[in-house]
Amino acid sequence: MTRSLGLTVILLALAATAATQSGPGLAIVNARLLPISGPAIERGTLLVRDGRIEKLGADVTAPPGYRTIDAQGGTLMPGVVNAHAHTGLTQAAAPSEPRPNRFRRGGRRRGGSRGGPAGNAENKSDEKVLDHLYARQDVFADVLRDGVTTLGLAPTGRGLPGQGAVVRPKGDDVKAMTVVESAFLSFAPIADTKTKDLIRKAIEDGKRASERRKRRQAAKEEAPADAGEGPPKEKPEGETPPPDKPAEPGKEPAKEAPGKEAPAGEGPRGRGGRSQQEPDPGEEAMADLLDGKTRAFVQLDSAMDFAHWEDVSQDASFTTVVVSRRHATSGSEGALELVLERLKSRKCTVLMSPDFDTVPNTQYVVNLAARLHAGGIEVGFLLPDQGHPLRTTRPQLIELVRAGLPAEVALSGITLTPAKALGVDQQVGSLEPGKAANLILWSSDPLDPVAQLRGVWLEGNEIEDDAR
Amino acid sequence: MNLHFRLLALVALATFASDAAAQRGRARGRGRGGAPSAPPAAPAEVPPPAKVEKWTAITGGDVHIGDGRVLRGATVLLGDDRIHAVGHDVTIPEGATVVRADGKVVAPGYVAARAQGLGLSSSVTGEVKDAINPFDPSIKRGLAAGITSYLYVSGGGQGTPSGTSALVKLAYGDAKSMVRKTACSYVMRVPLSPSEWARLRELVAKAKEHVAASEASPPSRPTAAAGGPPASSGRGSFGRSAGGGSSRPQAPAGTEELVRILRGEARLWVRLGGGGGGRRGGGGGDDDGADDRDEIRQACRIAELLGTGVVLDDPVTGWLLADEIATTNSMVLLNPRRSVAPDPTLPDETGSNMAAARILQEAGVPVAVTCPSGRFGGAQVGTGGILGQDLNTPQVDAAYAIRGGLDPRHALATLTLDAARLAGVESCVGSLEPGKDADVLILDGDPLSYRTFVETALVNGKVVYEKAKESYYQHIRR
Repeated sequence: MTRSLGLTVILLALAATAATQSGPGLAIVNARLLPISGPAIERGTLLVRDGRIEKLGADVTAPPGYRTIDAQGGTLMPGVVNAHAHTGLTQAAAPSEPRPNRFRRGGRRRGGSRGGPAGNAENKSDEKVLDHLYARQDVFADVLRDGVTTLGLAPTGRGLPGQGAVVRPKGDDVKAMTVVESAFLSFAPIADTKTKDLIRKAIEDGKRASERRKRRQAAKEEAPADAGEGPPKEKPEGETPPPDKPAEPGKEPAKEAPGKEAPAGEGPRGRGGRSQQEPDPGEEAMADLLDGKTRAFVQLDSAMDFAHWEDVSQDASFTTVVVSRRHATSGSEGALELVLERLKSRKCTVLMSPDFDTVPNTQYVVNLAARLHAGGIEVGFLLPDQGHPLRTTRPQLIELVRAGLPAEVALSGITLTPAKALGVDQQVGSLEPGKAANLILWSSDPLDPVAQLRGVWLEGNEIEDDAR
Repeated sequence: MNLHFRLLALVALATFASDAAAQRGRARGRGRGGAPSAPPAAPAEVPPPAKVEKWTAITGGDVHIGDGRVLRGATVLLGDDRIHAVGHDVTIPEGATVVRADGKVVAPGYVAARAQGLGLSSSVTGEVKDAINPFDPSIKRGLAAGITSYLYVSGGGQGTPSGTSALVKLAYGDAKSMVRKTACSYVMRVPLSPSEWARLRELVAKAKEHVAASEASPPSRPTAAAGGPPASSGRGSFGRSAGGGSSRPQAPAGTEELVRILRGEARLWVRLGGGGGGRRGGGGGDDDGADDRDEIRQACRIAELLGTGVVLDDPVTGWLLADEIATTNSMVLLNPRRSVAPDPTLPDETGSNMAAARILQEAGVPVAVTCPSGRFGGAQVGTGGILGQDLNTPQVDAAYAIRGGLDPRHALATLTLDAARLAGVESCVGSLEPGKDADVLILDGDPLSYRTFVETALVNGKVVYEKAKESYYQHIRR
């Protein structure tokens, strides 16, 4: 399934780049290469062709016809992946209030100024974040100029805000920006019975949808003759198959024979009188998650949040990425470190803001990222949605490294780790042949305070920046 | 030498036991004959589990059972999360974790008859289990003070019983086992207006009818631990039970709480002086409400109407009406440190009395002691209180009751067994008796001495606090 996703992504990437990039390749010479996936190459060359990395190494030479750029000893690393951002989402969906998405204790804090889109927990698992996206916004150019070449776009809201996507921050329309249409399902739980029940029910519905799929699949295998007549007459119109569907032939016929589920006696519990034949897209999205086709991005800022998440997700064994933007202010709810073993047993990756925590009621500062990493958790970092994400984040990463976080973890944490979390690590996140040529060039080591950003390439295209 | 010690211990035990029994006998004798049955010091609700995975034996300590008895140099054997056996001749199973407590004092974890701020905010919407914060640092502070469980109450305070309540265990880090019991108490307020009285009478009559009817047709009674009232059952939560209580006929609308109170499944707390959650009058000082005799009498009327005792929430003049309260089998929560001057405009004696706990206890009224919790916080244990010191002082507050004349042997019960009875949870916490929850304290001295610190606290059979490992008191040495 990862392969199918990967295929789609590569196809999409090809489609997007074929138009813009052709002809001779590009050679960046005299560069210090930080592949992230392997050790640094102190002086080497990286070749780009058709928007992708062709070759890199110390003994690589630029073939004739390649345009050559002299890095002058600068450091070349993969473009930054911001795996959980709301960049460019309409104002109504953008989070403006503090800590909108975490489990919180009941009580006064919940009332009052809160409200608006995040006020009530809702099950919007059928909604895709891309449906709320307008492509031609300056903010995308802004973050791209700053070095962010891949964005995980996450819907905002409480409860189950919807399906997140992977986009490149460039393109005339949403289609051109899209890398993965439905990459993850967002969970924004809070500690309150209503919200927890909502999520519990959605997972139960997803389990049923997944079982229906399996039954259909089994029925299909038993009686292949019948299946031929199914698809033409009941081709669902409202249903938009997830992007990975066409690439997965085994699943396709099952998907197109929704009539088969009627004998099973369990019509989908669709919202608002959906017909029996048509699977609920929200339930299908949840089933995709449970079947391992996508992953869960769960917004948890504290050990308390995690305990409640454990309670609602119970035995569900899907890939979970913990998104912790506000861990530093979770105060008396306990640092995520307190549930380290449980995070580990669930193989959670933690994507966190690069902030220090403070022990409640004290002035003791804690490098949570370093502690989680030392405890065996894969740690990635979140960048601001807009403005100068990398320019803002880099000093914070430098501080974390100064306080004990290994440098390679800091750099991997904004490239390969978030790419893995999004499931696009076959395409982006490191300097490896075949991956998209998303590159950023620094005047010196990226964690050197005086390093300057010299250049950004998105799929082999250099991004202009007059201010650089 | 050893034999001598044992003999001594036996003699001491016998003395204590007979004393305590006599005391209880006296207390009972004071109640009027034919009064409704007292809330019993119920036997533990679940028999000890047949199969125990983890044994823990606390040996050699002076074991305070919680009801007044003390066993010197005895063993407390815990099987998983329950107390398995307590005594001098307990066989320690092979593979048990042995905790030496020689020269130390072993006591049941204190029950804060009412508290807030320990892992829960003041008002919870939905179910308590879904709002709990198992990593709240104040949980550790509560444990350092010896509190291992507390009654959480929010809402309520209307003219009829209502509110959300739960017995919360301070099982730090273990969200699943923090809420032990729900809907164990309801709250209402007095004084009631004549129309409120009429409504209450009507509802109580209906509820009694329902209880009588359901007892006539043998119901399959779910245990009180199964969950909340029928209205809230079936909602999702940690370790939820599948739609508990559905086999029982539905109580008439508006009487669910009363039915549970009448059946003895929940306690009724009566807040004196009307509304609010705080101190009567709110804005005023302690001088307001030097005379709450009317409210106390109204509470007693409610107890008579129900035929079951109620809990009087921090009466000022309870000591003046001790016999009246005892007759109705009601119970009292008070803070012995609280000082309210008599009302100079009244000819009668009013105001508080340091001896209130003794007077009430001698009249046969179970008394639980709580912390002052500041001027507006009401009588409860909180993270606020006088300079935020509530969580340092439960045993000191109980000691104030001794200063007021309360029998020292009984004073521990104001923090343990009687506190549990007030909260309606004496079947699972409050004393070191087989079958109850394994909430145990190991103390470095007499439980009610100001010098004493909690060295180790176990909740549900697990060590959740060790003085030497937590930052609060580890620097204090003797």
